[in-house]
Amino acid sequence: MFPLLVDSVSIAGIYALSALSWVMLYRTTRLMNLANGQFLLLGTYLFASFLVQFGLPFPVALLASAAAIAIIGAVVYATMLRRLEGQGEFTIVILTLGLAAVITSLTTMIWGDQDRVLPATMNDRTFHLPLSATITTYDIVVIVATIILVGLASLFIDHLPFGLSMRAAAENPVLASQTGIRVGRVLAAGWALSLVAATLSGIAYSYVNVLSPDISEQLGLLGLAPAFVGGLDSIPGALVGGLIVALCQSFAGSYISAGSQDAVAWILMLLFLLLRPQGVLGSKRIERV
Amino acid sequence: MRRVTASVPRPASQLAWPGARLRRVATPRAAAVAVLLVALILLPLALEGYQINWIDLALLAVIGALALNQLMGVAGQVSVGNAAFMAIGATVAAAVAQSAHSLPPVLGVLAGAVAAAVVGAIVGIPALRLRGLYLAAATLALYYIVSYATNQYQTDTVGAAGWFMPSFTIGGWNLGVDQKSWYYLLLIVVAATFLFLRRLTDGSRFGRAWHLTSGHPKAASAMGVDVARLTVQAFVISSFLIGLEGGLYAYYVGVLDSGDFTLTLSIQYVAMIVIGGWGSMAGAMVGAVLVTLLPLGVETLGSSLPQGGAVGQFVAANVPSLQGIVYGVLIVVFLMYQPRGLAGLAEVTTERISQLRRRTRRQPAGPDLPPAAAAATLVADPGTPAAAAAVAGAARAEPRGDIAPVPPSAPLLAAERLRVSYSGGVFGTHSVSLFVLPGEITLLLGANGAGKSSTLRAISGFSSSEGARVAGGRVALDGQDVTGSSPDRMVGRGVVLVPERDKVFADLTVAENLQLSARGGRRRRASGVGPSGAVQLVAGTFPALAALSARKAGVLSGGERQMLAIGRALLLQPRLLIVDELSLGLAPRVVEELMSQLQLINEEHGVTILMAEQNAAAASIAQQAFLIETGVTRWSGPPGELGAGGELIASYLGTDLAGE
Repeated sequence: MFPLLVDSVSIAGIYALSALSWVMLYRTTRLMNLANGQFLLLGTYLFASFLVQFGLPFPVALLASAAAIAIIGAVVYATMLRRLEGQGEFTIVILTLGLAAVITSLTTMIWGDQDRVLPATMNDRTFHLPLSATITTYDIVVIVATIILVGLASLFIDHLPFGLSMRAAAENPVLASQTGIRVGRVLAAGWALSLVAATLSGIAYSYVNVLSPDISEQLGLLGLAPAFVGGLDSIPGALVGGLIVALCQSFAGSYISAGSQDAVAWILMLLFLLLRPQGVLGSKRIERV
Repeated sequence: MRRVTASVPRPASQLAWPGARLRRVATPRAAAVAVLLVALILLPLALEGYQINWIDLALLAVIGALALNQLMGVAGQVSVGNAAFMAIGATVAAAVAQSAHSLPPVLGVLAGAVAAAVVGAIVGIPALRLRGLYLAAATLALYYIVSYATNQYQTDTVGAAGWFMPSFTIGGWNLGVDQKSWYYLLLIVVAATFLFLRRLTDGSRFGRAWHLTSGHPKAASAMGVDVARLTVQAFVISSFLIGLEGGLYAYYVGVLDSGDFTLTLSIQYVAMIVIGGWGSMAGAMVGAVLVTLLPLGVETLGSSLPQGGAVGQFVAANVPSLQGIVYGVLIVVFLMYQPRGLAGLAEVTTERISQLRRRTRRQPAGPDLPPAAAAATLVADPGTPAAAAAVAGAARAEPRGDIAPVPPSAPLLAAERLRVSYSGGVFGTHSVSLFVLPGEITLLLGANGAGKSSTLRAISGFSSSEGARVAGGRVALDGQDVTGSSPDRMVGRGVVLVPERDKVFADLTVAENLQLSARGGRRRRASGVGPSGAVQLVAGTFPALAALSARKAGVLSGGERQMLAIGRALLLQPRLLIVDELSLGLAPRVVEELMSQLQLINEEHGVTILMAEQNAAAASIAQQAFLIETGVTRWSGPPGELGAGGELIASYLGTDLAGE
């Protein structure tokens, strides 16, 4: 029981970051980006290339990949999504499906479909805890970084002026514009931040595990599950959702089968959708007939 | 002019015998259908086996696309779970074939379709509570759950090699691996599906309710349509058909692997609908054929390029990836430039052609007729929406007695013959002219629908997402042309609007609503007060707001919202404050209070004000008034001249306008 809990901690943090990218986008634009997983994979591949091919030091590669995916997100918003404003959420959601198809193909053409192992950037030590549980340096770094990032995101969106503009633009873009907010920039920033969170999640996963093309679905798209479980409009909810999903998965993994893990996450999400659509921490305001 | 004149008497004959027109339309159509049928029946004779194979796959896709079109295009729901329903239909059909050899395959396929329909009903159940993106997310979850279950079932029973399907037989007809036989079977299934769905959507009460629901779920539910039940029904019907497709697919390919049903496959089906055109059955079919044959196209392209050349090699090596790029790009391009798909494109094209025909037909009489008469001739042929719009436009575009008052001194703001148009060819105003002198309160009077809001919105700017624009005239601020600026630009120039409705951010607290103006955006340096200063500053004008600062703006009363909206606008340090219908929905006592506050704002802070009202209640605080009627400025002058007895008001608002 306790070892399972400890083992889930780092994957919980990784899920929380993936969920954070869904939550950030929903909070700032009220949309779902079904290409989130593909962007996550693209950002992670960029990081791997910066690190390995270009030989950049880890912090530089991290910042460069975050900046690159942020720019890509803002450009995608400005060139495509902005033009579809006022046409309804479904149009944009389906557009992201199209983007997903394009990015999947592009990443396969550029980086192939082989799994990659990232070179170690720090001494990975294993610490022994009571009750025969173990935790590694990577695990600790991932969970600490996640908590800090979720805290920063919460501070930014819920308490800082630019975050306030983002929430205003998400609720009513026309009124926001009439209040002097440059809505285009604000929404582009929402997309950029969301994709940065996704990329960080992908990078963290690649260190704890391997960098595989499967993470676009098994981490990026799957992030929707912890996002819904925690509450699609709650930033701290991403952390809660990540923890719940990761725990359920590791229990299913050890008591049912390894293959059942993904299904468990989606079943959990479906249950929440049916019984508590606002999630654990979300606000009770869902779209109903 | 040539043969065209001969067709002029046609309307008369149509009037004499309506059936004549009907027959003329029906005959070529029936002939076209007959030709198409014969061509479809003969098609396999002209093709080789591998070509028929592609056509068979396309026909299978057509079944699924028609079903998905029912859900997405007609019921207005997005589903990304199509591959899951196919997987259910296929796996159940395979399992039945495996365990009960003696059962006819048709029963297995039907069992698969029923199983898919049952799961469809289960997924549709969230529709009783959820709509929109939440429901789409539910279908995504379903996809992964089903995909796990079918994979697991395959592993437990037949293993990685997959299901070996027996030969498909139906009433003694053994189809085996004969692509031609399959072609005819699938053709029959497609035709049956098409006719079934067309009956379902066109003729029945059910179909009308669906159409209503897809466009306006709220309106539909207000009219007594059970939207949730309809959505569940749509899920059941479409998943039944997709399950049917899955079962047939299993028999067609012979060896079934549940890994075939990827998320990419689901996206392909969505692409078929987007490319074909939402809600169009013909579009869905064409979309299905195009998307299915796409790999063939990419391969052909690869092999037709010079062999050994860099491009040819690249294409040949990346066929699957290039396919993904092509249909992904097609989705994006269609959504952006042709959102109604190929069906919409076809409609627009036929409309253009018939317009062109009409124009050539009318040409002989054209030059002699005044525009009004030309419009009248159009009335004789009001069948097309374009013609009807032209009539309406001609009738409404004629500004009757518009005036363009000249300001006595340099105005802060001047609008000249403003013409506002909305997407869909509707006009908000035709020719509104007004001016605002610095330091004054100016009143814009008019009845409901006269164009007051359109005028004020045109001055303060439209957002790109609104589909509205200034189609004529100009707006000048301090003599500078600012026509067509975005709202945030206008705020930057000191023109701030308090809109008629949706004037506060309901999800934000009162304090947050105010902080938004104090610090963010283009007037950042304007007021220069911190977040806490913002509330204090506004509380000086509206003390009632101070106690409410932690409340969500959504729970405020109408009067409180108005105070909050005006307070937020004031923090942007406006030179010109525009207030749209201050009095709307408020008690007279509250209106009086707000009016005196506005007067105070004008006198003490020197803020110039332009306000729109339906009645003359604001006349006492204004120095200048403009009266507009059906989008046209009709009168201007000092509000005192409106008369204590209100003769002018009576003549416009009382008689002329009250009727609108």
